[in-house]
Amino acid sequence: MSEERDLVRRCLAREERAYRELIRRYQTPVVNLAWRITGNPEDAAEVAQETFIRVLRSLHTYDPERPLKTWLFKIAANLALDSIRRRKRRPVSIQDLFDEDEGPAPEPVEPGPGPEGQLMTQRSVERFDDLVQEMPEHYQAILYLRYREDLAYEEIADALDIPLGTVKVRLHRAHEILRRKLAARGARGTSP
Amino acid sequence: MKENLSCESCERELVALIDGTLTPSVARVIEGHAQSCASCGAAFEAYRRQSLGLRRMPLIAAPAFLEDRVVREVLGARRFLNTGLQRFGAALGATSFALTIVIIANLARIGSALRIPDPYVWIASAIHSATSAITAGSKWLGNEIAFYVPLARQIWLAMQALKTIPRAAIVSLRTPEVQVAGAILITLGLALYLLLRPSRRHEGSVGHVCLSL
Repeated sequence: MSEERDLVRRCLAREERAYRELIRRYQTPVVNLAWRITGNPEDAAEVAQETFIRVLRSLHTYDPERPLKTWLFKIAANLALDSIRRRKRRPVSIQDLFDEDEGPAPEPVEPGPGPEGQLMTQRSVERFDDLVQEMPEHYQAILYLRYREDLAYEEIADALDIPLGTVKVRLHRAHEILRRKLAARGARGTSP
Repeated sequence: MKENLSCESCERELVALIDGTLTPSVARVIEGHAQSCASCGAAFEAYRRQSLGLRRMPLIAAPAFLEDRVVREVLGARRFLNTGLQRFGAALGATSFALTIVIIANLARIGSALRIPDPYVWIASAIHSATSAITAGSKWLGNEIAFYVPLARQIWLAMQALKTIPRAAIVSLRTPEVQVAGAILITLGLALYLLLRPSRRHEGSVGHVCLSL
C-alpha cells in the first residue's frame, strides 16, 4: 500500500517513469476487464488507453485510502459500458483473438505445464472460456474480478458501483448459468 | 440440518461458501445441508470445479503501444500546456514591463493628447473621488444605521484619513525613481509568480513553500 502511495505521489509529481510503472503494473487487469465487458480486444485497448489517460489526469482527486486498482477498475468498467452502449457488442471467441491480423496477438499471460499438457489444458480452458464469453458482460466482469483478480465482494461492489447484495446474486446466477451451459454441452467434455 | 433449510436457499449460498465469505455459523449450516442433500451436494461440487476453472480464465496481453500512447498523450498535453503558458507568461511580463516604462516616460504627452492637463492630478482625483464615496457611505452608515455615535465618528475619521492617500500618491508618483522601481517590482513579482507556479504542487520545492504561505 505504501509502495502504491509512493507511486501515486511520484505520478502527481509528473514523473514519466512513475507513469510508465503505473501503466505496466495495471495494464493487463484493466485491458482484461475491458475485454470481458466489451467483448473485443480493440475496444478493450481503446478503453484501457482512455482509462489510464483519465486516471493520470485526475490522480489529484484519488482517495489514497482506497486501493488504486479498484479505482482503475471503476473507471475502466464505466468506460467499457459506455463503449458497448455506443457500439453494438461483437462477441469474439478466444480463437478469433488469436487469428487477429492487426495489433498484438492476445497471448496467454501465464505459461501452463509442459508442451502437451499445456495444449490439453489450453484447449479445455478455451472451451470453458467460450461458455463464459457467451454470458452477458456484467456476469463476465464480475467473474473476472472475483476469480482472476481475486477481489473481495466489497471491492467488486465498489469497482462496478453496484450494491454488495447484487454482487452475491450475480455471482450465484453466473455459476448457475455456467453449470447449465456445461450440462447442456456435456459437462465432462468441456469442464476444465 | 436439511429440514431447517430449503435447497433453494442453500444453493443461493453455495458460491459464497466456496468463496469463504460466509460467517462460520452460516457456513456450517450450508455445509451440513450440502453434505446431506444429493442435489445441493452436486451443485456445490459443480460450483467448486467452476470456480477452479474460472481462476484459469485466459488473459489477453495489453497492446504494446498502450504505454507509449498514454504517456505521450498525458505528458504531451502537459508539456505543450506548460511551455505554452510559460512562453505566454514571459511575453506578457516583458510586454507589461515595456508598456509601463513607455507610459510612465510619456505620461505628460499621453495626458495632453487625451486633453487631460495633468495626468497625475487626474489619477489622484479619481482616487480621491473613490475615497470620498467610501467616506460618504460610512458617514451615512454611522448616522442612519449605526446605533453607536462615537463608533460612527471613529469610522468617519478613519475614512477621512484615507483621503490623504491620493496626495501621498501624487507626491511619490511624480518622482521617476519611484515610478521605475514600481514598474520593476510589479514585473519581477509577476515573473517570479509565473516561474514558481509550475512547481507549487511539488512538496519541498521553492514554489510549494513560497506559494503555499
